[in-house]
Amino acid sequence: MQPSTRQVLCKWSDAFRQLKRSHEKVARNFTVGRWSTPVTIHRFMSDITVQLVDPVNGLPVHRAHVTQLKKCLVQSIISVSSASQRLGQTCELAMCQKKGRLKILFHHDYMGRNATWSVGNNFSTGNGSVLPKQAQVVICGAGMVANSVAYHLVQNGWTDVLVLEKEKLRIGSGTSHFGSGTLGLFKPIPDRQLIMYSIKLYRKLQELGYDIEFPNGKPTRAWFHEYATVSVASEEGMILVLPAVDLCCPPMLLAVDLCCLSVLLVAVPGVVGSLLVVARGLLLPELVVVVEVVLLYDVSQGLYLGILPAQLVKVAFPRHPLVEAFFHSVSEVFGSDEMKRLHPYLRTEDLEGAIWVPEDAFSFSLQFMSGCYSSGARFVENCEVEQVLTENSHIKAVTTSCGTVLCEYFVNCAGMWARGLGLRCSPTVRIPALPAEHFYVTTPPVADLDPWLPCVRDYDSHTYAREWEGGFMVGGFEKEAKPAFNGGDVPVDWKNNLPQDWKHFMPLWEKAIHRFPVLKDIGSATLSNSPDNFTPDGRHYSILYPLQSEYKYARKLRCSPLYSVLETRGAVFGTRMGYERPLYFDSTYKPGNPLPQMPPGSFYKPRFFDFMLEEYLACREGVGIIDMSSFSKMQIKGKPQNYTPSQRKTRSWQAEPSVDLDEDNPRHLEDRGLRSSGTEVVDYLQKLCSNDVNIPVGGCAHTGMQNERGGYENDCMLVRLTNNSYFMVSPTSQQTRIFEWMHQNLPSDSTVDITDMTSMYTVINVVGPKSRELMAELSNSDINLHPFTYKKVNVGYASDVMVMSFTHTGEPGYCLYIPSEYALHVYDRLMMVGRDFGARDVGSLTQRFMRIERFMPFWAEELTSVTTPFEAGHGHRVKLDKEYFIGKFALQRQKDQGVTKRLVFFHLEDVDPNQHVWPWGGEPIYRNNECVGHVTSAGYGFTLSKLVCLGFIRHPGRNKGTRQIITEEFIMARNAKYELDIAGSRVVVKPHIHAPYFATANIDNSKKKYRPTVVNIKSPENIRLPYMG
Amino acid sequence: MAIGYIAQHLITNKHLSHCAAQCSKRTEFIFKQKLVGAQTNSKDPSHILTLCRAFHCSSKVNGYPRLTPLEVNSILRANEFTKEFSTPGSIKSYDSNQLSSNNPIEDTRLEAQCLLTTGMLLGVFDGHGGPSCAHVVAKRLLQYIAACLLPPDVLSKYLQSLENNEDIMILKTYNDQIDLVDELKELYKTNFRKFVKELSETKSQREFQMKEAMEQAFLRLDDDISREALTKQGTGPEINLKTLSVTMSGAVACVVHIDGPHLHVASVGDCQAVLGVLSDVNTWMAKKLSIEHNTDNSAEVNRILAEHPSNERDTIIRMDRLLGQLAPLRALGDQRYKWSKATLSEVAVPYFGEKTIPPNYYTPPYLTARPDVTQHRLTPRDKFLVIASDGLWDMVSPLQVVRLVGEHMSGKVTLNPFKLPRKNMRIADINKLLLQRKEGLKKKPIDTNAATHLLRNALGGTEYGIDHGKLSHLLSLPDELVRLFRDDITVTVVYFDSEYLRHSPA
Repeated sequence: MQPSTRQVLCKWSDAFRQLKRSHEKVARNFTVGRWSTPVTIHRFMSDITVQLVDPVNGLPVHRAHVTQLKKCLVQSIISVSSASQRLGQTCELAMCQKKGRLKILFHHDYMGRNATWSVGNNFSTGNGSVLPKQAQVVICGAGMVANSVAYHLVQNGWTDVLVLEKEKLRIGSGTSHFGSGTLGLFKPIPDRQLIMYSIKLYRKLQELGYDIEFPNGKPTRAWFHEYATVSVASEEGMILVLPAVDLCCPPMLLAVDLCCLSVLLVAVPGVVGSLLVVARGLLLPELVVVVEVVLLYDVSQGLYLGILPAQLVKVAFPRHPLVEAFFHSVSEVFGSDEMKRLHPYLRTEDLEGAIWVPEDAFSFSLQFMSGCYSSGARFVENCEVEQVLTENSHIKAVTTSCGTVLCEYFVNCAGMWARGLGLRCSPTVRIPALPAEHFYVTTPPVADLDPWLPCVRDYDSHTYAREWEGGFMVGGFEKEAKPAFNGGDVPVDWKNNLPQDWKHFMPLWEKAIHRFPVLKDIGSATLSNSPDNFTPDGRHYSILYPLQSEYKYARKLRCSPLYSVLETRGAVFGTRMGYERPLYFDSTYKPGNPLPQMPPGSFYKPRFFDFMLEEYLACREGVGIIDMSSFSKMQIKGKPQNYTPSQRKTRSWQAEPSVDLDEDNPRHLEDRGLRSSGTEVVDYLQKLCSNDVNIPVGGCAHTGMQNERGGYENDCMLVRLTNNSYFMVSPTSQQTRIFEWMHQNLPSDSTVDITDMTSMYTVINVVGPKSRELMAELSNSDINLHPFTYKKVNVGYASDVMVMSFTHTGEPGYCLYIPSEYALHVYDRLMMVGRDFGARDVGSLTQRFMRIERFMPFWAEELTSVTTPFEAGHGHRVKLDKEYFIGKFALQRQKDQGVTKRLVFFHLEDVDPNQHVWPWGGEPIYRNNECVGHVTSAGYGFTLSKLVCLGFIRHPGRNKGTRQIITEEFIMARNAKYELDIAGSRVVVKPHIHAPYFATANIDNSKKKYRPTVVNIKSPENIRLPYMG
Repeated sequence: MAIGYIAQHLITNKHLSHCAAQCSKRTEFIFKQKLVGAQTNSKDPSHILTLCRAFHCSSKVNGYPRLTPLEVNSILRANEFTKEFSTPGSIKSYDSNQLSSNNPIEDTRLEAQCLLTTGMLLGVFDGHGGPSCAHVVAKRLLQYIAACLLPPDVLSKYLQSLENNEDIMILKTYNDQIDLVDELKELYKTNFRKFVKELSETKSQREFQMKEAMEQAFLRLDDDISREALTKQGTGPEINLKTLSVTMSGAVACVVHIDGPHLHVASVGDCQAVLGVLSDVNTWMAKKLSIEHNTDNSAEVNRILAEHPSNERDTIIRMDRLLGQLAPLRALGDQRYKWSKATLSEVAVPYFGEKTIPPNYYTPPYLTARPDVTQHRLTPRDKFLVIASDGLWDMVSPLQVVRLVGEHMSGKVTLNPFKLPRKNMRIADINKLLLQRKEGLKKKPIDTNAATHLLRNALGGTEYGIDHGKLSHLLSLPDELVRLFRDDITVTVVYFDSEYLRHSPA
């Protein structure tokens, strides 16, 4: 007889209640799954463990472990337990309490015995040496990534997949087995989502019962271990880990009672997460008992970090005002050695705090192969890919040491050989990754080392340390890594080319010894050199401050023609798509001095804020000059040579083969009758764009390009140059992506041609009320353009500068598209003549803030492939009365039915930007205490003089699993109280559904009316004398 | 032209005891004197002009200069005034100066800070027929304008304070050298209060228009001046001679209002405001901001002709003058050209004689006090504004004035454009002249006050620099002759703060 889930849970909570009362051993019988199993709950080494006893022989089968995790369903426990049962492994049971209910999750015990599920053996018996003649997909490499790709392809129905491995077919013949296997969640959002997905996937696989074989053939331990990690850093910014509640389980926090918490705390190593410890502070002599659990998240990235018992936060920031405020209701006194109990080997004297990431995990090399194998992927070993053959820019075949295999798709998963392979392709594919030497030290077993010790990441010393085979594994990521193999190709006998460089590793090792004094006494530490593939961002193990986490390497790669000049004017640059863009200008910089550097990062007001304010004022009162050359620019035009044969006969140009087909001179073509009525481009664009782009020649249209779901594929400006050609301006990061999308959707008769013009034009935004006068002066012509039109004018001595009458800031002004060779001249004139118009260089960060304040959503932040114009408040740019365009049906449906999420603009009324932590994105948004969304982008509204942010709002409730429609009335309801959780404190925010109206300065000053300003009549003595204009 | 010459004695406190009855005679006498001195007919001003030119060219014939450089300096600098502003604003400072030709001088200048609104008013007034009208206008016009600038709510508060006799000042004046007799002061105060009252009653909620405000102030003041002359004062039947003499003389005015980058010029007559603009290639340009109301302005002539029957076409403007008499085609005061013939006969003829009524006086009014209002937005290239009476503009062109001030700013001297003094010169002689000119260029301006610098150059400027002989000669002409060679000159140079304008909000 199976008891219901509910019954089980009730018993669990009952047990806890008992525990709370007695603080003693409590024994209870539980039924899990189809086994009626007696379960013992007892305190075990500061743990709560649940013993599952096999009902048949009465022997304990499972040791379950009480923990607290977010998402876990009883069903999965049952399946895990059954799998474990089958494998004869022990499992750990984790549980948490949610609104009085218990949730349970199993962890594999790393101590798993008899890990006989070793697929390696299964695998080598396969037909691993016969190369098929063809395959739909060929994957080069059989490492972790390749296996993952194969697995996912197979999972998604691609069965004709071939995996080629140049050595013996076994996981990790390359570098996969070397990696430390750390899956750290403390990363920027995109990285984090990938890692989170991996963790989930591993869990799923684990539930399915897959296991691995280690390269040395020694089946040892469970391959996937959800470890705790402790991240350590001494910078204060790092520890702005703040009390907040996560979207997924807001009630959990509230429901956890004192008992559970203390249990949680003592159960730390096995329970949750990692702790980020920040150095420099003083430990309070006394700790305080927890009244609440604190969820941690990285405010800069909106990264949910985990649950931290509040007293640890208290330890971390004894004097932090936020913490003090949070703990004003503190009661009991707690032992001071709790920090040590987290990690007994940790030197804590100079630590200031820690971040605890519960879901970090280690994967000691993961095996997907059997799963793939059984579902259709084929593996061939000892087969080295030599070349990739293409035909008409499409993959045709792959030549290997075992022969040639025809294929449609080729996936390069060659790890550290990937770059070399890419270079061997024709045309060459350049992969920006290089193997660098990565060192770690392993020690012999240490007596009584708790295998559940969290992994400690010390951001100060760039090291990590975790338990490994009873000893420690200590590795590090030095700031300047050594390229492996002296930067050359990977040698054939690469495994013999991994010198141990103690000298190189010593600085890191010393820091590690400082953090873990126990290491000093350990005798024979082994240093391993494991090359790892790295991309050149230089951000590994660095704190990613908001607005200030720029890549360190591969800089000055793509530069605007103005780069050098802007540099001498105090520009501080950042990159997007490898393109250097001025973030802001240090106006105190004097040419000749060392170039200005970005000040240290901050989660509060940026230290360069005053410069941004100056820049804003220039845009608002004078002229702001913004270099926007990084924008992706494309020309879309018809191809006259591709008329259909029947058309061709009527074309006069066929009779004149020598005629110059100068596309840049359409008039010339039209005069000779070379063009058709030319609707192919407009037809094509009408199909792609959700706005009506059949605009008059000389006009501009702001439009989205949608996918079939109505989501954004592009948000761009289309300029109609001639009847049959357009100029398109898209966000910087869209350069390759949208090119690809548009190519995919080209008409089959290839009558439309798309050319990337990004590098041909330098883009300068001339923003502000005096921009018109300035441009009139520079061009000697009337710049009185209607909004959303363009004109070619001469600026200074430069001819044919495209002047478009819009800016990307919401302020009046112009966008100048300057043929790049004229860029310096035009910029020079702008600055020289502009001096009298109050012209100033403006950086992209100021522009960013100005856009946020105008409620203008950003590409990739608000506008993504899963948000639609109606959700983002751009419904007016959707013309549903048009003929078919991609996404029309989805948008029509959404228009009829309503949206389930909506972008809302918030004003932070009560936050003092000079004192408080700013929102930076990722903060949860509450509506009447229910979490309804997260901040997507945030900044300071200069005109409003307050902090502002954007975020998508969803209906808090679900209706049969589907999201409810959200209406304007719901969002703006009078009784709706919105709050933002910034760094642990709730602040009231005011929602707005429409962009705020700012009286923009009239761009045409000559017509501006004068109105006297009144001086206060009441106090004539206060009149400021003499004259004040 | 000189009617009312004596009348000014009546209103300035120093000469109050003079008998008004004599004034017409005296006037005639002086007028004749002038004619004799010039040995020409006053009805033909072109003659005078010719004479002037001839004299200019032969400035050296007089032998030794009568005045020492020190004396010249003290004459030129006697009326200097400089005001610098320390608070941020578009006006950095201004220089002002006057040089009289008439005795007493008929020009007036006044600058004032509006106290209830932000902004500054600067005026140059050129009287004719005596200085009395110019004085009264200068004293009152800025007040009227300041009142017109007040929004309704402030206006009513201000009125309240006026009625409660609280001393809320509407203006703070600088360099105010005019003092009126108490009797007029009282009258003007009463009338001003009346005006404010009416203004606050009629001031519509309509949007503020600077042009309307300025026009209203000018017209109302002119109206008040006229009415004050016609209203009998006290109990006696006598026309008030003081107010009458004010309105029988006239004045042209150029008033500039500057508030931040907003510059408005309201002008009646032939005073001019010229803006000095430094182009991006560092050359000076002059921009005229005022519209002059004289016969050089054909639109103005056409306006007048259109306002009167066509049979008067030949008589309205004769010898470039209104009714053959008045050079400016618009003016304040001058009721001789505004009142009806009957009023003139009744009120003015008894005191000023038959000649008071101009010839061909059929369809009055022939004259208006409506100003032309122009507006300009100051840019950082606008470095200064020169407001001056026609005495200056007769002698130097606006561009030259701008260059003079511009280079005075940079501490350099400016020479007149080089012209060959005579025909058939040898190269060697020309070379000598050029070397002399080169020497002249090395000198620094000797005046710190730009207005004085302008006066000095207007009078003594040559191709080689300032010619002391010429200067001395022009400054030592006998009173009865001097008017033929130079008019009263009033110059105010306003310097703008480019840095402020560069960053001032649009």
